[in-house]
Amino acid sequence: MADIYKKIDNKDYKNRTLTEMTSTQSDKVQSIIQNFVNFFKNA
Amino acid sequence: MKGVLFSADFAIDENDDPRLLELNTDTVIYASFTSSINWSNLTDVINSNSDIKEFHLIYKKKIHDREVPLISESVANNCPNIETYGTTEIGYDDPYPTSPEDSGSKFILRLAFDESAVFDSTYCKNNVNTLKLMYDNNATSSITEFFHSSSNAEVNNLSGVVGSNNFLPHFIIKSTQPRTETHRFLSVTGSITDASSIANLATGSSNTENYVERFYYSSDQITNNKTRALRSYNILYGDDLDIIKLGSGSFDAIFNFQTSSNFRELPDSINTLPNKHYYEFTNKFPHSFAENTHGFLGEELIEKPDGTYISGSLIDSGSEVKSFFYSGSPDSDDMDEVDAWSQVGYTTPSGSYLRSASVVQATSASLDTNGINQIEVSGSPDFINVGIGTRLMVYSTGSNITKYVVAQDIDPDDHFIVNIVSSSLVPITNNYFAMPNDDLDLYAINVEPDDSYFLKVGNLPMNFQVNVHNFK
Repeated sequence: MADIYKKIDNKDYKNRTLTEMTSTQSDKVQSIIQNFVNFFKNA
Repeated sequence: MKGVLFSADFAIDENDDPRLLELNTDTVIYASFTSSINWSNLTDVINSNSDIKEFHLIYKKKIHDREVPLISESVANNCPNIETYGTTEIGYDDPYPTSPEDSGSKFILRLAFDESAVFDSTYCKNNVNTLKLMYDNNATSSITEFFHSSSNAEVNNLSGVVGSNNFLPHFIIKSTQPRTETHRFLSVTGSITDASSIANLATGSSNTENYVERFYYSSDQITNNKTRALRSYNILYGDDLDIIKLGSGSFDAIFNFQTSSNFRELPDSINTLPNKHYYEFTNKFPHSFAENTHGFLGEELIEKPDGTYISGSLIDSGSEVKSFFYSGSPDSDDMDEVDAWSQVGYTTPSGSYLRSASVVQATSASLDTNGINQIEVSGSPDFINVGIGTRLMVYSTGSNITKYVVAQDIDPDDHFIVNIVSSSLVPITNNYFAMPNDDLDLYAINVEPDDSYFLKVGNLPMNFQVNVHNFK
């Protein structure tokens, strides 16, 4: 019998709930993405 | 006008600030994200240009099954100027997707990776290039600290400052090779506290084909010993490379991290932590289309033509196994063809019959970080232990069809195992995603002519087997 370390019902991990980012986090994330794109355009 | 959908993954540092880890096309929109994706930001852009009359989607069925109907529905319902809607389906391994000719009257949205696009082939394909572009533009506080040394790039901004949690790693080593999810997690022993010494230990653990990344976590973001990460979905479009924000959110790791083994007490200066912790330390989602996800653990039993069984780890090329000619099923090892096949009901068609088949190929590969599915069927004291991409024949009560379904997608509330010999159904009582304690091998065989074989399930009195399909 397989020696299992951890397991979880298949449905539970497939339906992990999403937590909204804080507005501060969301703004920072979008700012980083925008910066990357700006650097990419200039690369 | 052309656009490409991509995801951006972030760790959260000790100050709750996001740190960019990687960008990806060919990205999956996780089920938990679908309700929060704001497709109206896309349709607003389409509607803002009255010249756009055609919308075209380029996608891969295996990856984008969830997104395609959502996007199609949103465009159909919200873009009155769109007169033509088209799609191009790309094979999973095709790096050069075909695309309709661009024009001012089209919006062509690509979900599939494109080797000929610099954004994809340079940055999404190689995380080091993404991090280095940010590093070269002094945006180091927006990215992970990392080290890489090769002819491609030389970067070292590892400070050697590490987290204080004794049950989480200090560093991750990631491959620079595309589609390689292999990670190694490193922990420096507690007696070494000097930052430069710690950084040197980390850099000394890498080679030219990987890079070292600092492992970040925020104490404020840990709930029930589960780490959290951030993901954002966006579209890059047009000549000016504008961004359409689709949605973002944070989500927990699959497993909570253990608190019984103190990693700072391990004996070596720097220690590699076992793969079994992968889904504690990352927020990755296991994908059934990934490499080395098809097959069975070595302890599984495969039926031979005489009705006896052989362990999966012992079977080799040239062996004979029991097989079944299932009338009407595709004679193919092309998984797209196998996945597209189904039949109404679960009664085995006339003209089907048991026979033997030859094992033309037997392989084994480390399970690595892929995990397995443990499928439990009614009446059996044991599980079927298979790779998450292994295709088993099941009957769906919801759709009244029989088909091969990957283990990861088998739903005990809907699916029954089909006993094709007796045309009967066996209830599935549980389906677990599991990480073994040890780094086990996953075994796979390719049999001909019938492309399928039987795995034994526990000690069921009905001598029942699961019909498993080849994978190539």
